[in-house]
Amino acid sequence: MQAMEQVDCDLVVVGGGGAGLRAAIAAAEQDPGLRVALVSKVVPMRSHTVAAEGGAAGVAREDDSLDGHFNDTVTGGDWLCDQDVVERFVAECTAEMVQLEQWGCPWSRQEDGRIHVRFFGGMTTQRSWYAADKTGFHMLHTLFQTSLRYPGIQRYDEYFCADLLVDDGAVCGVLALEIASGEPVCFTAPAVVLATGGAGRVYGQNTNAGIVTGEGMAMAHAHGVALRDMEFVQWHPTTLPGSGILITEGCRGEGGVLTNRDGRRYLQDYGLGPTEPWPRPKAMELGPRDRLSQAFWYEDQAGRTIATAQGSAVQLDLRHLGEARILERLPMITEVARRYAGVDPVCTPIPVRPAVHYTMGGIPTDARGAAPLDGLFAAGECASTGIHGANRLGSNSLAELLVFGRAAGQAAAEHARSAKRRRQGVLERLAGEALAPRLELLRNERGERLAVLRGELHRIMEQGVGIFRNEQGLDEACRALAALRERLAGGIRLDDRSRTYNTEWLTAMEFQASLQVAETMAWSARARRESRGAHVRNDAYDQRDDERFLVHTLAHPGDGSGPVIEHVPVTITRSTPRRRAYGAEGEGSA
Amino acid sequence: MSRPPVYRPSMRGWWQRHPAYRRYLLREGSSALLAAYALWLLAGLVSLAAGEAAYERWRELHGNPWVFGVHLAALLAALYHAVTWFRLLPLTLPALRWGGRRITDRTLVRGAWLTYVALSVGVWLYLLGGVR
Amino acid sequence: MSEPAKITLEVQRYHPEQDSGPRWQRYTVPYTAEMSVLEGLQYIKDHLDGSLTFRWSCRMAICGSCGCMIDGEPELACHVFLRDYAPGPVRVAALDHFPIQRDLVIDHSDFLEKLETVHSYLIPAEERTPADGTHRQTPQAMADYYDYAQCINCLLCYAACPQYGWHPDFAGPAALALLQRYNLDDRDGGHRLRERVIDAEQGVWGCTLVGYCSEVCPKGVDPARAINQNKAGSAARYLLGWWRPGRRRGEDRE
Repeated sequence: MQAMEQVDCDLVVVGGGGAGLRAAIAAAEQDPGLRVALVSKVVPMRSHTVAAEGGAAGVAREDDSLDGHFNDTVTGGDWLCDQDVVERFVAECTAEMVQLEQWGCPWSRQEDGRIHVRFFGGMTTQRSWYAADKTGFHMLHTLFQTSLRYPGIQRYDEYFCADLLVDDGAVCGVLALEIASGEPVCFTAPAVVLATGGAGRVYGQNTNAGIVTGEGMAMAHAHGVALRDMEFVQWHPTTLPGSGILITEGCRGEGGVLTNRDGRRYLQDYGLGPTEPWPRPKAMELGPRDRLSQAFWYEDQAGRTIATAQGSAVQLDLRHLGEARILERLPMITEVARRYAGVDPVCTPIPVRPAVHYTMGGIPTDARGAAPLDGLFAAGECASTGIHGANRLGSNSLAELLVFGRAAGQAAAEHARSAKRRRQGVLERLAGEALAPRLELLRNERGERLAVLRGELHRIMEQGVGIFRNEQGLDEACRALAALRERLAGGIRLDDRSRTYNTEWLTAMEFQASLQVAETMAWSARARRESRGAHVRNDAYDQRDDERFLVHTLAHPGDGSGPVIEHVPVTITRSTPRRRAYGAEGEGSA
Repeated sequence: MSRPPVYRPSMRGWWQRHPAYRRYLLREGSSALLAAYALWLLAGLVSLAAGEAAYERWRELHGNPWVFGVHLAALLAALYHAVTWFRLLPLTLPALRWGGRRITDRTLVRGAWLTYVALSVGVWLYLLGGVR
Repeated sequence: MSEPAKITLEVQRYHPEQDSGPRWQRYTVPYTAEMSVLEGLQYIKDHLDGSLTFRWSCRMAICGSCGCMIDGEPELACHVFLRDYAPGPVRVAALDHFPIQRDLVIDHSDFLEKLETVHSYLIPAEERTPADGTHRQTPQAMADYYDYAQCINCLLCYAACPQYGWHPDFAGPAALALLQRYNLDDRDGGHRLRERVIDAEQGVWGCTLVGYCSEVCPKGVDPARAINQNKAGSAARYLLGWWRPGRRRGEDRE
């Protein structure tokens, strides 16, 4: 066997989305001599950040305050946030938004040329910086184009990161596959930043791009890093039935309303009212996503939804905003609704229903992005920094990938300078060991079709680990996932055995990762015998239980029968848990 | 990293692939007839310089149905070329504003046609006046 | 229930280890009214032939991955629907004018390099740090470049540009549109640097205004306009260069 190609660098950033690009730029700015390898399975501008629509949070108005952002975030997260990290986060958001503006991001503006901010769910005031309804697209392209200015950043586009290389408790590189040739490449570096995004694709109905399959989380998990708070999966309340294509919260931020079959603004029946005045922060359609998705579920159970060819839906009505405002503020939504739902939002409400959108949990990190494995850092959706708690507020994730992308990039650059390098022989052995099982997939003669296994994963997760959970369903899901793992061990039968641009092979590796992540979700959910934020149970545990469960969940890799669950304390600095109320009740308690 | 060989497509028969390409060829091709007409005029000038007899011969050629046909074709080509030329004109201009509002392509094209017609009428009037 | 409607897809296949050139393969796929061509390809990959290779990701026309030729037109596969091609056969091929890596996957490395050479990033007119706050930019000033900032780099415009087919050195529609995006941004001060790209033979003069690039753009970017807006200025610089040769040489020394 010929020697494996090796690329020596100081820092490997895995993932070319918003967090990865921000980390790479931060590292290159801090130390222009640093050799940064940006390894991504897609060209950076194809990353899923591109599909974010609504906005990015950062205190901008005179009448707003960091305390306001802090309180909204902690309340929105149902007090499962690490408050020390939230404090640091809210303090840095605005500078990051300004930095992006100075790199050219076309934030929407007021007439006098100052930037404009819009309302978002769960936020007390207008705080979300936005670029029409293509915020993520403009942020990603601005970051990508800015990254071209840094010669220290060497891009490896369409390199699939297959595994971390870990020696003696420290990360020393990654094994990647050049997709075009299928050839392995060993990237050596004393610091690795994982910025691989979430894992929404473990569910069938989701807003996520096809690439959002959770490899980063699975990779860290496979090397002993416990994944944190994986039971907290966010359903976005407004997506197109069937495809799950996202209809931004910005629609409601601009004043759009949700009505059921009878034309009633049903959210008033779920503690979010009254309906007037409208729009009003933290009430009705501007409530948090978990509450809105749960309200849909009840409406659906009660038969008050409308039937569409792709399942039941409620109506998102924008008509009262008028054509001019809709076209100015929501041009992409208009186009998407016309093309993918066949309705013109100017004259017809858009049918919408909840779909999986975001994984709050992930690789645990401190405020610098450092994970509990020497040399490993994580940022963006794959990380669990502790800012989202049990439910993320819309527009906090775009802010997160900037703030913690930069933090992780800087911390990793510092680490890279001080850490010692591994011996050549060790790296070769590690890379070879990591490669062998991946090549084995190509040789497998027996087994099931990938699509069949994936369909089964989707079925299990939608059924057992959905918007509402219960003990029996979660037991069932854990068992079914274990059985699926057995089937996977029996083999995947690939039609494609070649090395050149073999996407079927890559999809098989993605599926292995997805299944591993799905198990941490189901097991974590089963162990949380309470209801909090996005994790809601309709059995005996339908209330929040601060006595026992004001704790993070850690899902450690197990011995083969499934993850091992541990609960650890949450950091609380100044906001003690109280009843989480929205609408009129929330105004009274705030 | 050695990559597997790529297939490089050829451009053979490219113009058959899309009507837009054929429209483009027609547009560019129409200028050939314009050039032919310019040469014809040049020949007229040369014959004028050569003396009255030569100029009369050149004039008489206009009675030939073939020459007439070529002239008609050149006229149509000129018109077609003018239409496409005016239509593409806005693409070559920076975004123009009038009282803070962007001038639309349509207004620009109309303005260009109006200017063209006005100039043409002016020239005609001048020529007619000259004859009188 | 009645049988679902079916449509035949004729897909271009090319495998460098097996084929000397592209070939066509037919697949019959059941479809519903809301299924995109991309979903048709996914059906084939999942159920009929796992070796069919194509790029995709967002399936909502914003990531720019799934460009291909559909019945001879450059399209995003996620952005057009099988119903509009029924009963078929509908031909799906790799984007024109690009080297093919495999099946519908083209080699886009040339474009990625061009993005760098055209300086498609903000070169600040004045140095600022986040502490200085945001620039002021009126909506009107933003409108000058906004349309060009909508480019998703899907490369459909390159597949619509015969000049790029003949002369792969030509910077091409999307790269030049992004160049113009930054040139028209009043926060940017990099236009002198970009003049060299514009004035070069591979710059705006590589364009003969076929204009098809702007027709196929799924995001209304109008690259033909971005390019041709530059020709008058470039011609003027050329003539000035003749007029005052010293100035030209002086610039080259910068």
